[in-house]
Amino acid sequence: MSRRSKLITVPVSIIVFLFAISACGGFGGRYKIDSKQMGDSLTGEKFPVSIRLVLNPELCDHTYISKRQGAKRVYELGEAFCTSTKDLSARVFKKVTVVSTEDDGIQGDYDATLIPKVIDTSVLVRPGAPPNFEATIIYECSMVDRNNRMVFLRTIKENKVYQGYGYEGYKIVMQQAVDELFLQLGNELSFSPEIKRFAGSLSAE
Amino acid sequence: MNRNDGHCPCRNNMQGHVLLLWIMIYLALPVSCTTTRPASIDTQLSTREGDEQIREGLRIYMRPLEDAAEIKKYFGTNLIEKDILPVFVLAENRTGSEYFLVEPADRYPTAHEDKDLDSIGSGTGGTEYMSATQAKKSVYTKDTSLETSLIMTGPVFWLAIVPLSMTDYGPTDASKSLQQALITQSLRKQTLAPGRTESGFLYYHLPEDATSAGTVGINLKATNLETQHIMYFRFMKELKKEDANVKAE
Repeated sequence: MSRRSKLITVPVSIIVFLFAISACGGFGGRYKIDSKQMGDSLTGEKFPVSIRLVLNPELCDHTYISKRQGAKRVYELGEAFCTSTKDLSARVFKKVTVVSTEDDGIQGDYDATLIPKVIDTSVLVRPGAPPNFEATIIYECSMVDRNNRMVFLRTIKENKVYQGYGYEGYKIVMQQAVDELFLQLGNELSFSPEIKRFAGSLSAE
Repeated sequence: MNRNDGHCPCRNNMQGHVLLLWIMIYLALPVSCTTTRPASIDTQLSTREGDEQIREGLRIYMRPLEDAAEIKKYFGTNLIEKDILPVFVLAENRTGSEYFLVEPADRYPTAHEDKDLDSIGSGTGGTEYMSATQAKKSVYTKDTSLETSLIMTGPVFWLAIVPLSMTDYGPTDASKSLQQALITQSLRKQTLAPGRTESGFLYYHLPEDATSAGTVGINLKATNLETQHIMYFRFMKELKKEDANVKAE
């Protein structure tokens, strides 16, 4: 290859390669997602219900691994899920006792059991100018009474889109999805007619 | 051969072609991974003519999506070609005081299991219910764009293809987008307070021989949370001939 050709080929190849990489796969990474800061949200009256909250290791150690064009991204989500669910429950219910399995504390003093569960997590990028980062979290929260009868079951489908350049988009979009997820879950719990009715039945007893 | 500059013109041409090829490959890479975001569930889905049943104030509406353009709108691709039939389901609690737990049922109980039911055969014509997770797994497509690029690049890089083809580079953007749509749009188990409506898709696996996919049986289970009375909603739906044509294409 002539010197002139090399002078053109090499920089053009590098520029186009970097463009292609930034638009598509990237180099991967590990992201620690923070729990949702509740702030002044959910300051209403608490339900007069004692809750046994099951935060199992499957939820609290949850990681999501995304692979795209060979680039591996690991999202540490478990701590955010468990801390946020615990903080949220404490703002919605009168008393919350945290256990790590569904059998723990079954003889204890509580009115209902709250079981959160991650159904699915996903991240994808739609290349463009700027690229669209999309994070989806499907989070289920069920509440059963002492007789194991369903009181409340809601699945939150959080789908967040973030537009921007750079690899930080991978983390930003997931953090936004987690924040929005717990905002939604908080509203679903606090304004749930099912839980309101259940709380009413307890006070009537 | 032109000896004035000491270079072969045909060689220069070849170098130019190689450079052009590289540029095309690199530019094709981002284009090849571009996907469009599918539409979210909207009111258009429930305004078309479908089947409905109302029992004890609980209304269930359902409509299999059989039009390729409509399926593409909500999933980004024609699921029928992947042997999946999406069925839109809407559950509406029209009562003033009853609470229901509504969930997809993978089958309808036999008369032996539930004495209140008349005996009904399965009659699904080979179609089978599949959960959103099963549907998601079934559409996974391995990303082979890097291997394709190397094949196009030339013999020097061909040696790298064997080890590369054994590595999992994750799904293609298109299959990831579809997987995400399948999970997000699915109908999930929910409690329905009075006045509340929930909607989403159920997925049915179509047999490979589309001509045998005569009918599809769509089953839902609803439990009254107060009385614990269980109701089953079953819809038997004839699939249109067009479905077979779409699959055959």
